[in-house]
Amino acid sequence: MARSIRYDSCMTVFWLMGSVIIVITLLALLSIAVPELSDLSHLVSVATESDVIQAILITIVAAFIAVLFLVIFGTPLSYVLARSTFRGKEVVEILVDIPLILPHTVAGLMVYLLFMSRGPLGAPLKSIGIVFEDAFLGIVVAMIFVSSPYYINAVREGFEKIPVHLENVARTLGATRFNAFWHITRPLSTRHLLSGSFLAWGRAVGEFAAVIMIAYFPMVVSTLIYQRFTTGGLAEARSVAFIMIVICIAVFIVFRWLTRAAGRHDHDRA
Amino acid sequence: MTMIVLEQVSLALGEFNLHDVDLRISNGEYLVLLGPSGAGKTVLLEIIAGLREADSGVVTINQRDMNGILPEHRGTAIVYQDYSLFPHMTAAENIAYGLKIQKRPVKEITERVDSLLADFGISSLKNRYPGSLSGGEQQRVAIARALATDPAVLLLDEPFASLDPRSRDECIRVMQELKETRSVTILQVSHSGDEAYTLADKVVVLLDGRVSQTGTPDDIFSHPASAEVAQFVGMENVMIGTVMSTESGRSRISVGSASILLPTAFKEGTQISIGIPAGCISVLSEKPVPNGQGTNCIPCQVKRVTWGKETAKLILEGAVPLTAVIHRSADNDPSSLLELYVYAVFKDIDVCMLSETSAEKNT
Repeated sequence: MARSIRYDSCMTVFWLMGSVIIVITLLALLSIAVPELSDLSHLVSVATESDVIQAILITIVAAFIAVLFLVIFGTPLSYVLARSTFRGKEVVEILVDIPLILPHTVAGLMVYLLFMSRGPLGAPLKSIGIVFEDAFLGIVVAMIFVSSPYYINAVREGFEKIPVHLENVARTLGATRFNAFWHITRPLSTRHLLSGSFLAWGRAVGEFAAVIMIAYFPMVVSTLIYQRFTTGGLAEARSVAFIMIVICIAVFIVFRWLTRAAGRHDHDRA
Repeated sequence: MTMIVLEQVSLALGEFNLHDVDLRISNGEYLVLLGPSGAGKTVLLEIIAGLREADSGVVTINQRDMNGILPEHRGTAIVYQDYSLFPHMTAAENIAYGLKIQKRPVKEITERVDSLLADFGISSLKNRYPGSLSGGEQQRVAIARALATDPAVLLLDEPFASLDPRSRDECIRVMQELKETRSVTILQVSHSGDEAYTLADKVVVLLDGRVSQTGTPDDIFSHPASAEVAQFVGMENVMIGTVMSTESGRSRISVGSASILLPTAFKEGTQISIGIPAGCISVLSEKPVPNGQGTNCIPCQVKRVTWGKETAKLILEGAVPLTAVIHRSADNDPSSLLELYVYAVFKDIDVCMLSETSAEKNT
């Protein structure tokens, strides 16, 4: 057995300071969980409301589609940023990070102006039957916009950690650049691909301001909680919130388990 | 037949610079590119492999100009110093990778991988992941992987630099066998003269991004072309002197307050760099009786003794500072020489002429 750590004043002080954050989170969780768990019948009745189930499904599925979009279109961008230098790279990096620094209402307004039925992208797409305003796809584009930097930066960091020598060796063995990416860099970056996806998913699920700008309806969970809070009161909103907390923690546990399995051969773990 | 030709290859890359590098490697030749760390040796390998583009110059492999040819079509295989094994693949999968890319039949791949594993004595490591292999084992997997696709040339980047001495000797033996049995063309970069001595057919010395000398290992180590090469290959006692007099085919030069006899006649006043290999200097406690011509004898004092396993290095201070290496034996304890006044004796024919300036040879 390891010897117990001796008294260390620095660590003790750091622990005390850090525990402020832990305690706040814990108390916040308890302040929702305790009243909800002591009135299970109310919780069950809220959880089985079709409005609530629908909002939860819409949120989770829209966020999943947003992540799927990022995996397909964001992964190549992350690779380009990780592996090449070109003129104007800084401009591209700033563009990638813009959703990160803007107030979400501003981000929402940008998405709305672009994709609304009279917008420069919204109008032509509407003419072929693709509608974003007050529609499911509107939720998805708002989610993509706000969560893209989380995905791109996490995945890029993962790609940068894979030594370029590995790709070089693969190339001299006959692999094309794409082969080298697909056989070597991609599998070795699984952990970062997963954590980027999870971060982006979490960000997408939590988005409220940007989503309501383009699509108040159909309601995502955040919209529903806000609406219940402003109309029905605290108890109504709290039940929905508690259900969402449970779902998110469950997803997080699954994610942890997945990344542990995926990171077996990761370079930075060796 | 010349396999690889580099003509006037130049590249400026931050601190690395290659200036007009010319290189010719013949089929089946083992060439060691010798240079200090940071001389741009790895960069040169990457240029040959097509992983980097030179600013100017031509690379030809098998009479084919490589300009615009992608790395996957060049038939070169690179082995990096860190081996760069694919960590998510077993030893066998690593070796099979190139063959899989070429879409060879599964049966052929299995046979080839098995025979390579056997040749390198690593059959038992077949299903192990690189993370669980020692440096020497990883090294062998990396070389087997590089050979799997029958490359035109094997490019080795400091292959033994990060191995412990035992694995290093083991790997050098593997390379010697490889050289004898497979007739592969090998270009290895190294900063160690020992490796070059053991393995190379030809050595190219790269200093400050320029080719300083090309030749057999003996040429390079016994007859360095310049003071820089001499210093780099570890020749001790490199110094500059001025020719004082010439008599019967010999010259006498002055270095500091000493005078040293050279086996060649030079014009008086010529500035000349010489090197005296430490192993050629005998350290005697009594002044020797001159036997024949051409013996240099410099009185000096032993200032420091550095122990080696079988030799001891003596730092001598006299009219000119000298380093001598003597063999240790039971009846000779070099430490007893410390502070003693001795004579450093060496023959004129053992002195290497490195370069001369300001006057031409006068023979």
